[in-house]
Amino acid sequence: MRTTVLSYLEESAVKYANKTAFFDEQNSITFSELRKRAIDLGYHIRNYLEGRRNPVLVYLPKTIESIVAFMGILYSGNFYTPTDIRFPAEKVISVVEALQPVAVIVDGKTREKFQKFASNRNIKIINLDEVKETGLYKDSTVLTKEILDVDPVYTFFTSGSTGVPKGVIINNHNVIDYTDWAVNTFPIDEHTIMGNQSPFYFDISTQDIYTTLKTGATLGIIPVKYFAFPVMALQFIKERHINFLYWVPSAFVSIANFKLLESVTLDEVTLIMFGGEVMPVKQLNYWKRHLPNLKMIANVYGPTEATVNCTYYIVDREFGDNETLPLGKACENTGLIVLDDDDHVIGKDKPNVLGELCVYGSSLSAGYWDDKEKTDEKYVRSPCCKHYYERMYRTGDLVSYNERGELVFAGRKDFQIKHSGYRIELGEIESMAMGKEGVINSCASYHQAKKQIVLFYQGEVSEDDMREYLLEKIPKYMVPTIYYQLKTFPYNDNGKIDRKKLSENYLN
Amino acid sequence: MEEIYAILKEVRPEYDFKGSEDYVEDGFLDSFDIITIVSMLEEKYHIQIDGLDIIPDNFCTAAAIIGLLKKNGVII
Repeated sequence: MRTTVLSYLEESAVKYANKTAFFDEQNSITFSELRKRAIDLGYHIRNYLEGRRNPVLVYLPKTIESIVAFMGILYSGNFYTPTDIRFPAEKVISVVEALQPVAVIVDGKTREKFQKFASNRNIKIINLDEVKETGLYKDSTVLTKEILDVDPVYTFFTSGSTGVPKGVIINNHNVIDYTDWAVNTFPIDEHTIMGNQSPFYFDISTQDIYTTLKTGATLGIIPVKYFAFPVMALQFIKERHINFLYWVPSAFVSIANFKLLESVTLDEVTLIMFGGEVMPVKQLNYWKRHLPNLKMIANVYGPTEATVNCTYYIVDREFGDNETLPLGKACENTGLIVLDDDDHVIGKDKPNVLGELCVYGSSLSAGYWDDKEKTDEKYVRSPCCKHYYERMYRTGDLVSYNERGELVFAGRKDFQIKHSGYRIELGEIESMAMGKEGVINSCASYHQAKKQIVLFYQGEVSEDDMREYLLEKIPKYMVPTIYYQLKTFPYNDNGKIDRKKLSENYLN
Repeated sequence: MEEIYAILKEVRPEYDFKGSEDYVEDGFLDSFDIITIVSMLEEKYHIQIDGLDIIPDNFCTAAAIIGLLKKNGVII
């Protein structure tokens, strides 16, 4: 019986012992080496910490050392929360305050920096460089036997609307449930070499890491700085024979906008997938045209609260540059319900009717760390299950079914506005604006005080042309009155457009 | 040179660009900053920078950025 994600590593360390499991710019590690180092760290942590199921922060550069730390923390019976060493001090401190970790894993270089955050706090600082070999590799069940599948694997922090970060607790059965679906759905095996773009505190990395461990694939950690100079990311992919890319759309978009695939041909890449925000079709079509051996494209969607993804769409037809990709259908073993404002179910028989997407099943997180109020607000009893308590997560995302019975994303419920008596989806305005030739990026917003719809966009299109174009495409009441043509858009740490910053900079 | 420093300061006012010998090594510029700088340069000097030229060697110092501009025919 599989109760812990560590069983993936245990099995691969036998079956693919000397195969490279993870590599970064400088180093690589095999499955058996990873297991040994993680077990050593597991014992090392246990020397310092009593108890189990406690949070341990990881404050390390984005290299294979982070992977060793994650696995070592799991062997110790605890769970991990990664941070980024480039984060400003306030952000690290806000996570430390919300999480109250019992320990932090640092290395010789990050130790000093972290100590400034940890002063006057009871956090054990554990230096990965000081871990000694134990030789106790024969039987790891000493460490793992007490782990249950409801024990947490990690807690990821998402930015809350109030500014206080929310920690989403993801346990072993959540990750196992997700990983089983991912390897059944995508062609991932020991020949797959994935190129990791996602930060380790963002849950695309959950698929990257755990499908690698389960199938004996290899994960290449593309250095963060290469995404600032995208041609270097492409050269890394080519030189290291990476053939599978699962990134946020903005990483694909910047390579397409710089037209770099004409210069660096990625002839080994056979699969691309994206999630986290809407992938613009114009740039997707660019990738399609320039990957000679591309076999599969997948659009995935899901909130962290339901473990990485809850819907997927394998692109099976052509899309015009101004069309939108559907979200598709539910992942295996995932229940989806679309509810209207009165909590009545909207079925496939009612295409184009908007409702909130709700999720139930084994992928649901146990809730938010130390935040019962928020947990009770978002994880509620399903109105569809009358006779016992079925937990359901309200995503806050608005969707509808299309004529084909596929789910289509319409925007955040928070982004639904009421203007001149009409209910308007800001996302719908954005996707229309994106369809205009020359537009690279767009973001619609609502100026509450002035009661005006505002459109931010990037691209060589005049404000008058933009307005005229939209007047042809959407009803007049939806057409923005204020336009900002921006040189670039601000992005948040997860690579998504930073709407908050846009509003702060322009609408106040 | 001062024109370049002005652009850099606009993008990242908190950093001391004149005091750095390598902006990339010193972690001054992330992917968003690079895209911003590229579009500012393109607009100011009416050029189109080749994606292949967006490499650390061309953005590590103000002098390197000037070299990139010269390559694009800018007289500076």
